[in-house]
Amino acid sequence: MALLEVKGLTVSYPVAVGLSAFISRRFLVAVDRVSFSLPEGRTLALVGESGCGKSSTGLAVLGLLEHVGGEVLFRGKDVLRLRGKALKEFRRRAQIVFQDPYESLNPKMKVRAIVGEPLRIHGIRGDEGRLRRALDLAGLSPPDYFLEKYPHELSGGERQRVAIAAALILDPELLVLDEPVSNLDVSIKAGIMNLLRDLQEELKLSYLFITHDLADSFFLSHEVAVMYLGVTVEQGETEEVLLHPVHPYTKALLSVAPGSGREKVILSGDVPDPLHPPPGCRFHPRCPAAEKRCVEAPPGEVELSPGHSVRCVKAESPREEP
Amino acid sequence: MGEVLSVRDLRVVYRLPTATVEAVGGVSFSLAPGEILGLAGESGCGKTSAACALMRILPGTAEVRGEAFLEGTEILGLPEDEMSKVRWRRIAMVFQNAQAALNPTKTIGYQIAEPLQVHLGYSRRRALQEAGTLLERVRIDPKRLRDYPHQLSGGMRQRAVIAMALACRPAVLIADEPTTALDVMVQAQIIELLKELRDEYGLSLIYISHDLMLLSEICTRIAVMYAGLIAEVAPTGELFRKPLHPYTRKLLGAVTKLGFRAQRLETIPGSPPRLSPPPPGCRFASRCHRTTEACGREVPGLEPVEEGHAVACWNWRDDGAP
Amino acid sequence: MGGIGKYIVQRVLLTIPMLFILLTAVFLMLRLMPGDPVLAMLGGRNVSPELIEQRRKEWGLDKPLHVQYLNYLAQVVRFDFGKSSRTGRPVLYELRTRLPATLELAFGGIFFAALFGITTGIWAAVRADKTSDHVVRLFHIGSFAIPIFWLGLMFQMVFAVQLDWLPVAKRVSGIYAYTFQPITRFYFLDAILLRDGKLLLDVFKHWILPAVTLGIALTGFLGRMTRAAMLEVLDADYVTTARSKGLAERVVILKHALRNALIPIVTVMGLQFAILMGGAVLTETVFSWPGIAGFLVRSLDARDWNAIQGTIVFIGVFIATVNLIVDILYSIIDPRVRY
Repeated sequence: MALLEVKGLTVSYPVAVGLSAFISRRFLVAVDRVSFSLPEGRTLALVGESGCGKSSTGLAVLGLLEHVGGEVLFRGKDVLRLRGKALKEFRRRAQIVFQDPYESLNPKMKVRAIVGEPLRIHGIRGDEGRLRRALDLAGLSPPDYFLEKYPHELSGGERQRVAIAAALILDPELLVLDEPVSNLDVSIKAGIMNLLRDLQEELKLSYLFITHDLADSFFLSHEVAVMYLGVTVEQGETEEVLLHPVHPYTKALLSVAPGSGREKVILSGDVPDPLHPPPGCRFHPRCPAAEKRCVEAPPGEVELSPGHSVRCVKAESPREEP
Repeated sequence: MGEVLSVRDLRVVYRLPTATVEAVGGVSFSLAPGEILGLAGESGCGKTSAACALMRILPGTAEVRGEAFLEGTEILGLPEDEMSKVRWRRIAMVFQNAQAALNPTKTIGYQIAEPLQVHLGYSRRRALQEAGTLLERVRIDPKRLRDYPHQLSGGMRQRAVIAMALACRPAVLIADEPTTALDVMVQAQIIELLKELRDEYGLSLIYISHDLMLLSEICTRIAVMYAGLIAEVAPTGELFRKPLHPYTRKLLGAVTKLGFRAQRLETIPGSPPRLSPPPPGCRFASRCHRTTEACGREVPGLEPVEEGHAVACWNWRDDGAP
Repeated sequence: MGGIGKYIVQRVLLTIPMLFILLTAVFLMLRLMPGDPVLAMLGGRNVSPELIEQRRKEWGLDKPLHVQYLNYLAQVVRFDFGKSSRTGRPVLYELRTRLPATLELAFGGIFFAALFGITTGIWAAVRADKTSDHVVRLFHIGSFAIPIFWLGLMFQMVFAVQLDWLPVAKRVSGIYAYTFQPITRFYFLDAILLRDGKLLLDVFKHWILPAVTLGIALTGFLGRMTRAAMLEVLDADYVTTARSKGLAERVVILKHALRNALIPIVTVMGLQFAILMGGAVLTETVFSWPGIAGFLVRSLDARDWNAIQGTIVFIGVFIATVNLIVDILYSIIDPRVRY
């Protein structure tokens, strides 16, 4: 059984300005019926451009958002319906690492307090050994050197390691990594990427890796889900999706990734306003291969091979290369 | 001599109350007409300081030395009133964050028209008309002249900033991480646009970025900077095929690549040296895996290896494998 | 524009609960305050208990607290604040005759505060960390720290007594106090309406010292705010861009930096009006200025509940209005704000 099973996840945000919020509410649908499963010890990458709903998906999976529909099954239990003790227990086993280690760490707290805080919250007697082990795991050694430091005394890479140590101290099973290396310099980023891979092997962690960088997802993930305007357009094994993409959006995205060596397919304009998503296939206004039926109805999910599925009408009719 | 810009021994020293920091320690390069030169390097390597020194927009605490010949005229020593005639007219700059580079309280049209009025003495009407043409050229509807920056999308803002920089048809354009904050698709649009404009306007470009893969897509030549000095400079293909400086090699090994799943990414132990004052020998020595006695003693100069390829390392020759 | 109209309606509607809270707080505070309005008015000790009782009945003070409260609210809704126990005239009349004086002084204060504060703030920011910056900042701190009544007294001593350039107090000279029939009670406006140049000069001479006094008291805060806002803006990328475009420094500061720096300053100025009213009490007292603030002080002394309630509600409405105007100004200065 998969550690995490997400079925038809929908996330919306209320949009209203001023007093009119009391009268009527409009909702922006950021994530629209997204499904995936994440087996133990594996990494699923959610990739896409800003506003595609990948971060909202990550937060929703942790039960951190309101206005969430669908099911998020963690070891068979629906996270969205957990309350009280069970919720707390889930929070212990699922942790998040944010993008910006400059903002996610409280500048007034020492590393000791930051990494030890989850223990206090969960009422676990924090012995020194546990603290040291977490720092050690995150590659901050010797731990004693780092324990008494404030965030501003550390480099960007070290800060991100502190955030990772704080996430690891409760022995979680699932880590949501929300663009964990996006603000770091290349050489530092490489160290963190290696660390994440080592930790997965050593601790059998499962990662939900949220990133805009296809190359990063290629390095770290076993499976990839490509999102566009709240919808997963293509998902499957990483090699399969990123080396033999089928959906026109995946193809375009791959072609413009620096160093991909593919012929560029540059889509013009911007991603449409999520408040007014286009009818039919959400990608059709920018799709180089769009045709009439793309406007009519949103395409269903088609399984091309076991585990590799795509949402494109052209994939629905067999043997026709979209 | 076919050089638009020739920089010799450029140094930038910040005299701060607490320390004197040598951010750029003697950098020389030249720029041929129509060339796109990449300045690569991690944060703090001095690439932005070098660019701002050429524009002469560094704060008063910075001391600039060396020579820079722009179309035959030395600009680092020009009196300020003469420099203000050259700046933006012959050499212009696109800053990293388009949102921040645009005044939020002025319309796009006003901001693009302004340099035309100041430098070319255009009437307000003519300047606005020209601004409209420029906007159209960067593929923005000229109707948006009246829009304020916040009404444009991120990609449009950056294109508007490019239009503003090109208003007076400069010979050299410095682009400082112009796409760092943007999504890959928008990044691809901007890069395509810059290439077109280079051909159309006969521009020469200095493109600053931390992203080597991105630079490989746009640049004819790349100079890799480390701790205020150029470590290696080579034509793009050559740099990727035959990197000679240990830093360049490490950097290339640290990048995640599509289609090639490395077992581990290359990391660079330690951190860049303090530049107040810089260490006596090679600035990379403290992190280099292969140092000799010379490395700690003297700064290696840029030594030509082949046509257009030069490296600043004492030991580049006896180097089969890294 | 429909958006802004809707916004104003929303803001006005939001003012109602705010005023309600203010009314209630004033009502309760007065009843908690030591002293009794009836005794305070009747003064001496040899007052018969019957007379006291009678007065209490007349004013409705014999009723339980909640009844008093409801009566009070019912009055206020009709914009009736009752009669002043001290002067015997309706509170509304007293306020109407005094409000113009206070407004004239308040606008003068805010004008001079803006004049001194914003200019010196810009000056200090442009010359950050130079000697002139330090001098200006010292002046800001000084204006912050000097008690307003002391400053007023010093001005009176120097300009009125020693140099004899300006009158010591009041809004007009003695001769006019009897001959001149005010129309709007805004004396500047009245002098203009009457086409009386001499009167206008006289009004100005009386106005300048208290207005400057009040202005200086607010200069420090505004100046420090301006300096900080300006420093931040001068550091922004678009200012660097403007400079590199080849614009003259004067143009960079006035056209590109100032408007952005004004955004936080305008907010502060709106909030300063509340502080200004406090400052006005002291200034009006020192300069015997016949305004609303002096009236409030005397009403407090006399435990004149009706007058106190009326004055505070007036001031509350006034500050709310000013802040509404500030918010509208905001949308003019900052195009990102659209309601």
